[in-house]
Amino acid sequence: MKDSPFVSGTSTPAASPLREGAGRLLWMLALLLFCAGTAGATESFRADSTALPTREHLLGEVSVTAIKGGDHPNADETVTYIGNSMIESLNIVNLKQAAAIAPNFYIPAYGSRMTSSVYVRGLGTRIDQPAVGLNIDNIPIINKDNFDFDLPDIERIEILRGPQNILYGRNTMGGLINLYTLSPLSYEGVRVRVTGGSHGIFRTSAGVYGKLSPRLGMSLTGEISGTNGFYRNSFNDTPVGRERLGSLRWKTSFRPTGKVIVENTAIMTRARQNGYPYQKADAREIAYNDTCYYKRFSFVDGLTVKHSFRGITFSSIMSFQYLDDDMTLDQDFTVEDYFTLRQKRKEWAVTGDFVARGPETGAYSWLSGVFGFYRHTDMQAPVTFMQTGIDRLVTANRNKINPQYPVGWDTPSFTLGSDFRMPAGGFSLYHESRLKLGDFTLTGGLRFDMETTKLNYRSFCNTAYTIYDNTASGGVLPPPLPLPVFRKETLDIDECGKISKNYNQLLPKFSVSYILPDNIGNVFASATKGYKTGGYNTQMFSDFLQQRMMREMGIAQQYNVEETVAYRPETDWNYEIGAHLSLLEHRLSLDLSAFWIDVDNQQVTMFPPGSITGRVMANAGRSRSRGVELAARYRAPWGWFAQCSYGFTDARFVRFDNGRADYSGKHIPYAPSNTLFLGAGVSRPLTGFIDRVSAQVNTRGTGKIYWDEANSISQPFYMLLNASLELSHRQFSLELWADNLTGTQYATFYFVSIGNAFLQRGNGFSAGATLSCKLDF
Amino acid sequence: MKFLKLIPLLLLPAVVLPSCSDDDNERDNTATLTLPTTTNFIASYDNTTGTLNSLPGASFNITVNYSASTYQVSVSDLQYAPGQVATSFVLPELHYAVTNDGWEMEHEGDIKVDASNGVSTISDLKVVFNLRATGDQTLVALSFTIDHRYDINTVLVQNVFVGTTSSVDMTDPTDKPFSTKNPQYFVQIDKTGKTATLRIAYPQFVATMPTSIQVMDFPGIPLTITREGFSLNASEIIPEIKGTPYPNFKITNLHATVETGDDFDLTFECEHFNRRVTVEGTAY
Repeated sequence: MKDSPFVSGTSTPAASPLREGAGRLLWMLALLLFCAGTAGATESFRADSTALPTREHLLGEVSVTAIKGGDHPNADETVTYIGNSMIESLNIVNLKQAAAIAPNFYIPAYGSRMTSSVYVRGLGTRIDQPAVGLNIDNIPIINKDNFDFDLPDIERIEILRGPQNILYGRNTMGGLINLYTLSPLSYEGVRVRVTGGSHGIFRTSAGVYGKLSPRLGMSLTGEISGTNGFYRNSFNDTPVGRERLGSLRWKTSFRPTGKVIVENTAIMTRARQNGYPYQKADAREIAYNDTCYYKRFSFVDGLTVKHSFRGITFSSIMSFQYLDDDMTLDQDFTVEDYFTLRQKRKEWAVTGDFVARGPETGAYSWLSGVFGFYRHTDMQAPVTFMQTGIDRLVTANRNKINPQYPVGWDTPSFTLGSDFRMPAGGFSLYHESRLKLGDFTLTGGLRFDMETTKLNYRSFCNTAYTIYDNTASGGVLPPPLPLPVFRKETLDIDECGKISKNYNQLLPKFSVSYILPDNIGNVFASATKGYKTGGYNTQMFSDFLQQRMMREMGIAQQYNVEETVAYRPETDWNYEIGAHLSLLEHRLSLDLSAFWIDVDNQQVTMFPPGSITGRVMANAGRSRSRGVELAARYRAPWGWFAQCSYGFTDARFVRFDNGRADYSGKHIPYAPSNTLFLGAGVSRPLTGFIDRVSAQVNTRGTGKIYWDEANSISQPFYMLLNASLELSHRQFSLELWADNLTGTQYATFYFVSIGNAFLQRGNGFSAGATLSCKLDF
Repeated sequence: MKFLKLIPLLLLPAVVLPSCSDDDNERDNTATLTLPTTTNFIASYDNTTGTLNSLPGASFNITVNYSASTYQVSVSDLQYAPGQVATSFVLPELHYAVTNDGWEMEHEGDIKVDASNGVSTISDLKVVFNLRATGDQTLVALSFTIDHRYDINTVLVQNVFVGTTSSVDMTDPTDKPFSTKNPQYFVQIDKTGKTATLRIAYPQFVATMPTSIQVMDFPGIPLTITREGFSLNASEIIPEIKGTPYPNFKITNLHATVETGDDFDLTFECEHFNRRVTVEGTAY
């Protein structure tokens, strides 16, 4: 490949002079603040930004971590906590922004709000079942395609790494993200934020939090936001990546008695996006002619009830989730008319989690639970072949074999229709026991998981073509016109079928934790089995139908629907040792871990053989991942604060031969081998109109990322520099922020379609200002 | 024997023994295969004159008694010499043996029958069924001798063969030969008994040949009934795929010999791929 910032070994190009200057200014400002801080500050900067939240901090709030984790929820796990101060200083409103802070946790920003590919310690997926779960205010979000939406007033984020299947069930093999929004019982007032920035970035959020009685609090929070995108489509000179988003959240917290807590969160979101900023890897230009958009409406409501009775706590977490989305793509992403894809879906789901937790006063504590879910999806996913696609992908292949009798299509386009109905349901029983023996804590857990998933499909196509007689020319192509007609043919395909799969899993966990002397922390070791359920490659149906159509013409690859569409569950064993340390008089918090993961039947994203696109899943055989993680937080006595997190992962296929090539020993694609976050900040009171100034600077590093199983192309390690400066006056504050100050160029995604390689470029430099107002009641 | 799955286009139910449940004789555990005259031709070799005649097909009923492991063959409309009136007779139940490929009944001795035209002795009776991957029992051979004079061989209109397809480069025969067991071969004899269509499923004569071709038909190949079965010969023939000729895949010097219920040997040359192809197969 030519020199490119996206090819391993080459360096990134220089930033523009303006951005260079802004970057230097912020570096100087940070240094100045550091020096000012060393002179002796009277107040530390956002000391609670990443402190381990205790039950005291939760102020009576109900969290699934507290329900399931008890008093020491994560002593034998690796967790990253992101508190409200850091959330506000880093302007975190969604999952992708939060993930950058946790080691070995990577959510690339590409495509649309439907793509929430999460990679943890080398494990992850781009389509279908996720490897990481997401809970929002205790609600387990069932569909990964609904992970990416903006929420204002996030109070706290917990990123748990390693299998969480025992307590949190299916599709938490890589980890779990718990996201908690501000509770009306812990805050009363009005919060308004208005943001404006480059590239048409805007965000306006407003939230009202209040207590209708001492025991009943309610909040109503809304947000609208958008951007004009960072790129343009050179074909029609329109912005690419433009989006308009909105969300509304109604939260109710009720304490009818001292032993009963009831919380309900209802969230409604809406997203409208155009364009997918995919550029050809060699042309470095975004140019495609067909419409791309993504529209989504979702509604999620979760009810958490917690009741203590005779020392036992009974909790229930029930939810209803609805998703209605519509995506259309120029599937070839070129200016030619190959084909387009549309995916229109309506889905609803209900979940119920019922937990009983015994008292934690003695040496033995226990937790047991029952979980069930049902999900129903109706989806239409037609693929429309247009003139160029018909000519080059259908008739050209056919006419190369038989130029004496070439075919021509009777219409400039035809549609391969695919309708799906996918009901799925599951039931689980789980239990965890803890035994304290002096400074040791032994934990054992077991979960039995049953799931049934069905696919009812209908594949249909109605089109026609003509076979011409070109024998007079001896089969010369292109043929001399006009040609006599040999025969006319119609293709009328309408096939229906049903597939049903049942999966049962028994998932154990063992861990031991030891409290170190002098209250400096603990060390732990654990072995846990993780599980990601199987499913169906619905994207493969268009290829299947195309081959079915070609079979009617006498030429086709062999496809067995069930063998091609269904993929098996993925299981892994995660072995981990680690330590949570609090040193230097509790000013330095250190989290260390080393892990080894053995994966069986890993689900890997691939593209099917042939010259058409369409991502599919395949069970890769075996793979393994090993690595280390470090997270450190330091609060200096003179008022500044620093944090770093680093993750290293060596994830490779142990055995993976897809029938065309053997990728054993190769790095697993799309998962970065290194993640790095460095942040520092300071906050100082001032006298005068501006009564406080706060500044922070951070850099986020990612890479090396291999883009294919052959490891033939990769994204080198890159770093993004971000900074902000906040000036406060009483309830108001003005924040100036800038992201990717040095204009680093990098790729977040790579794929191949019809023999063309495409990349999505990461966002370049952006800057803006946020005006906030907090009126406390 | 490796049981192959025939592609659905090529199911040939005419010579398949129905399962017991299809029969009314469920209580007796029997099944009957009826072959009308249109399903076969008769090769009759006169040992006295040394002449071979190709005659219209006869009608056969073969009743299998699974409990007793016997076959009973009834013959009607059998013409075994030119100009002769067709005859009919019923053979007694005779035991069959299980083989690697299915079932076989071979009775060398004389069987006295009451035939409508005076035939009295049937000898060297042979009935062979093969077991397919679908569980179907398929008749592949039925032969006998009448009055120690006429050797009767039933040439079935539909025949399936599997085996090894090999090829070498026609310019350089020392080139690494290609070999595969994927292709399946079907011969359908037409009504006149003078020509046949050779159908190849999953045709592949060389590694570079596209594997996406499902079925290739070679229609109208001149056929000769032989004492053992039949032979096919064509100097040049253009295949068809879904009824459309494919001149690029023209083959030349096609020769095939079939020994009913047994061997299938086929050779031809394919100019497009510059290969000489040899097939060594057996009845399936």
